[in-house]
Amino acid sequence: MMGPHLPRVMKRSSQASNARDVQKTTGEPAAKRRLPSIPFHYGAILPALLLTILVVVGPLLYSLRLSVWRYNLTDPFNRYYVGLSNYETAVQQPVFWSSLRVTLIYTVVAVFIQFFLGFGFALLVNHLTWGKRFTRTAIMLPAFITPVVVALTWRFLLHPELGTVNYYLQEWGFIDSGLVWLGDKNLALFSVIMVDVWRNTPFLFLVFLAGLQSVPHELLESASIDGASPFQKLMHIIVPLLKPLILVGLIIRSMDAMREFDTIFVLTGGGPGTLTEVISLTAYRFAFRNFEIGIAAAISFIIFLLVLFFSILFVREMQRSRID
Amino acid sequence: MLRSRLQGTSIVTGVLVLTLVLVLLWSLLPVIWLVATSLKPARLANALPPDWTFLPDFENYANILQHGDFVPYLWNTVLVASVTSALATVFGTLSAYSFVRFNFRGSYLLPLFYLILRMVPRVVLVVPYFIIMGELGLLNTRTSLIVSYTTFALPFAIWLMIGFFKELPAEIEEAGLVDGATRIQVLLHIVVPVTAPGIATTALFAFLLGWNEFIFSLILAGPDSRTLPVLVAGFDTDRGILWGEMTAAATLIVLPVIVLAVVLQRHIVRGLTMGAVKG
Repeated sequence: MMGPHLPRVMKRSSQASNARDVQKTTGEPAAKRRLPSIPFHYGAILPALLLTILVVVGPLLYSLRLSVWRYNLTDPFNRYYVGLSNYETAVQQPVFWSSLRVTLIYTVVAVFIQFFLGFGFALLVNHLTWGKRFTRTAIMLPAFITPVVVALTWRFLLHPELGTVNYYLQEWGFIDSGLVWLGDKNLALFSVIMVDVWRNTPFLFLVFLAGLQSVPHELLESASIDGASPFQKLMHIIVPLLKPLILVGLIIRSMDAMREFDTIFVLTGGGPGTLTEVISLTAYRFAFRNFEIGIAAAISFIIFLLVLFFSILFVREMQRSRID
Repeated sequence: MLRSRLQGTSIVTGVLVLTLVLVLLWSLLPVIWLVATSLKPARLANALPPDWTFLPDFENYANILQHGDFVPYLWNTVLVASVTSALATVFGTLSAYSFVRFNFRGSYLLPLFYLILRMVPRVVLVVPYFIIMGELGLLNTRTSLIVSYTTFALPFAIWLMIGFFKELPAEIEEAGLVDGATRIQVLLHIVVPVTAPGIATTALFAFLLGWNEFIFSLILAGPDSRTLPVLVAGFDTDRGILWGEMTAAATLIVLPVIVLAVVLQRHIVRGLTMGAVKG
């Protein structure tokens, strides 16, 4: 019952035209053929596309519209068009710039630490000959825990008086009295970064592990025979081979870090003061604490443009170093 | 246990084993602490030194399951996450299949469009959603949550399924087409059964995203539609954090997540990078 064997089609265009030809010539009842037939793919992509336009593109455009009004929720009917002045106001707030700075520091430091930890974990697990799956699952676990739960757990662990971290640090003599991890102006951002490191290192760990496992053994073995040290093998073989993967992983992680909200919201709410207020929290605060919808929309649109810029860079990088 | 090809010395092996143990502790201790605290009576939750050996006490679980809003919120979360996952998986699979198997103007650009959309920060959408849902009278409904969750679940599902479909050889489908099946029949009777694991993975991941979602629920939901993450954050009251109840609720929220993580293990990399990297 098999038809003529078709050669493996490499070009999708000929595949598509094969399919369409087959559809035209094989037994469709005459009545059906009279109806206008939408090619399958147009019909298939339509639901998702329509839904996306409705739920994403629409609200984004609406947000743009909101950003050019002065609109305060406490006085909703007294809203009026103000052009770009919301953007001016946003950019003139010192908190806007400090929040951008906090977001930048948070993203760069967190991803930097996660890169080294993730790579280290991956190297470690890759060398295991036993218990690989258990270890991988255990290391990977934090990335799945609901961010809110992660934040609440660490809030307790980092509690100045009741927290386990301070208790053991004091027990073992590292510090004299409990540190206020989340409230001290010198520690808060660092603590928030470390919680992000705890939760999100597994992502890079898994990406790098997948990469390490795809490095051909022969390459490493012939390097050993030539007398290369493990460090040399790492730097001159593994890292160059994994560069596209590393890049993709770093970019994805950075973009997710820039958009962070849940964990920091629950950990510190942006405090003390605005020392841990990342850009998402700032937009949230303007919208739902100050009720200034127009300015919040302006701030979030600026965030959107920033993220858009980076995601286009990311897409171009991904296309260039095709991971297939 | 470890390949000590490096220098063959047991010192190196010892260091590696020690590092391994530290790494495992680092990853697991906070979770273990969470579960352990939930099994202690509430008044002992804060006790120092931390008591690592104790008899499990389910008082906290009894409290939240009977008195709190836990069960209704659980139902909300299950409902919203399931419907979101179903929508995202079905529409996403249809789209992804089309992008991979057909070559048309959108088949290159649209996936990138969805990828960029996935990068939209939630807060950018929350503000217009709040206004729009308010005007439509849809605040405090699960519908508003489902609609808002699709904004991230759908692009995610599309990219995940693109990854799966790319690995599917076209021959079986071509054989079916040559035998006279329509594209739809090929899809339903050949492609779906073969990619069922991939579709299941996508559905579970999308469910997980919905299960963990916080900010949309915080802003758009009300007493009738709130989900678990908002509940658990709400244990931070004016009277101080109710640690006993919070840890019990948190453990319950995290339980399905852990189970799913173990089940989806093999596909995790693909899920986290949305198919940009092969798992």
